[in-house]
Amino acid sequence: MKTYGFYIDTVNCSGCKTCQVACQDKNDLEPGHLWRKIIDIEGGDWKNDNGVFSEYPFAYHVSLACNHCSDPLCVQSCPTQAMHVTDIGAVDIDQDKCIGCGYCTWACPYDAPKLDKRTGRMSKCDLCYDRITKNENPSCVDACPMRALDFGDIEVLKEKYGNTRSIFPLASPELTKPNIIIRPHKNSLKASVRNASIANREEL
Amino acid sequence: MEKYNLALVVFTWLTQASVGLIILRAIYMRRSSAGDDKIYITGRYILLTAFILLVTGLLFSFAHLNYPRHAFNALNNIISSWMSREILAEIILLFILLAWYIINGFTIKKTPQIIMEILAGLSGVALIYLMVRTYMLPSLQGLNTPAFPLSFIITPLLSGSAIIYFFLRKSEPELAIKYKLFFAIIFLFSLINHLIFRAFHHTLGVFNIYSAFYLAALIISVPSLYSTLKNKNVMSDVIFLNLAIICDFLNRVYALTYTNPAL
Ligand code: SF4
Ligand code: SF4
Repeated sequence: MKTYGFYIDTVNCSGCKTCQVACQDKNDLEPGHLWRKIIDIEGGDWKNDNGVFSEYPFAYHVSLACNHCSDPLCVQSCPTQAMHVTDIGAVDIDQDKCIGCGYCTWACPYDAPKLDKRTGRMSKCDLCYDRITKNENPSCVDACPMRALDFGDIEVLKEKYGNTRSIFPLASPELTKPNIIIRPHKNSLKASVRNASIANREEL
Repeated sequence: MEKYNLALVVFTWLTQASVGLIILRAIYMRRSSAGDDKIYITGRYILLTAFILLVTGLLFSFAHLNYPRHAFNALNNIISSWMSREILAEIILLFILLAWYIINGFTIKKTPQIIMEILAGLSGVALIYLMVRTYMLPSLQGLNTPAFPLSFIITPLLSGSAIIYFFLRKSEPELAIKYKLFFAIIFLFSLINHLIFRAFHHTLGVFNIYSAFYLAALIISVPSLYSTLKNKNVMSDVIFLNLAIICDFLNRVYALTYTNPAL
């Protein structure tokens, strides 16, 4: 069985949030209920060259949904077994079992499962099951005007784009083995030393 | 509150108060010099209080579910979920306390009491361990420090000794004083615990409601302890204990709220 994954190009992503909105539209999500979210990173510092100061501001964006991890902490932690791995290898939530305790959100380093206030249960990216079984891409991927997202067999994506699995501010991939490949923005490498922070926390 | 809601904080706190009460009750039963009848009655009241705290805690845990209609599913994943195990342990302890209270009403013989005491004590400690494991997830960096399990040991001892102190204050002042001194020492640990949390996560700045309460409790502790040692019961007594308890509760709120911003 192949393992699906996303490719996220943080060099080309302009942070326009089209993927986020496409996901909300496709899945009929309420405003503020995000299965895919854009994390805006901002940072920078000053360089002192013999009394001449130069500035180094930077910004980049990480488009993130559920990474359908190979070692999903959410599945392991869910007390009801509502969170489970489906036949296509996606991680999904059985609405008939979920009690809306929110434990999956704490367990997930990516904060992917979100409470659906209408049902009182959790919901999150299901990889657009209906679309990918028809050999179409998930809605977010096709909506991106910058072609910054890609989707497919993680092995194929790895061959095409390399094997970077994390970028500031994401957690170490060792925790859950996320099925994402990232093209890192050049400033992300030094992000932590340059006072980088999440600029849009209230949106996430 | 970012990731947690207050119902959950109250749940952990009440449950731990209950466990602390059970453990410190065992000491009372052995150290009291009152008559057998008196000890029995006080012991029974303490037991009832522990039971009520546990039940109330459990009710609060329901309040944090967004879909309580499926609540019993929470026991589905004993194999891999610490939360399932925690809830199972909570229910087991509830039944042990209930059985104990009933047995206690029928007989005052030592053996059954001691058996129930050991059963309740062990499952109480197991419950606290499972609670620690439930929250010490690798994804929650802020809680993955030794300060966190420490706070789950401090709360039972702090609230347990405060409640027993209030039970004994009038009737057995000498023993009560020992519980209060123990309480004061544990309160210092609570303060240190809070400072450790703060040292790593200073998102709120230095002076805020948390520091205000700790400072107030610290100041009031001086006359309170002084009057206790002089064997007088004054108002600062009640104020100190309540303030210290509020501090420890706030410490829990702080740990579960501000140490783990989303992502
Ligand atoms: S990203 Fe989070 S919710 Fe998705 S599979 Fe991984 S741990 Fe589970
Ligand atoms: S909210 Fe639902 S899916 Fe998430 S851990 Fe609780 S029961 Fe499982």
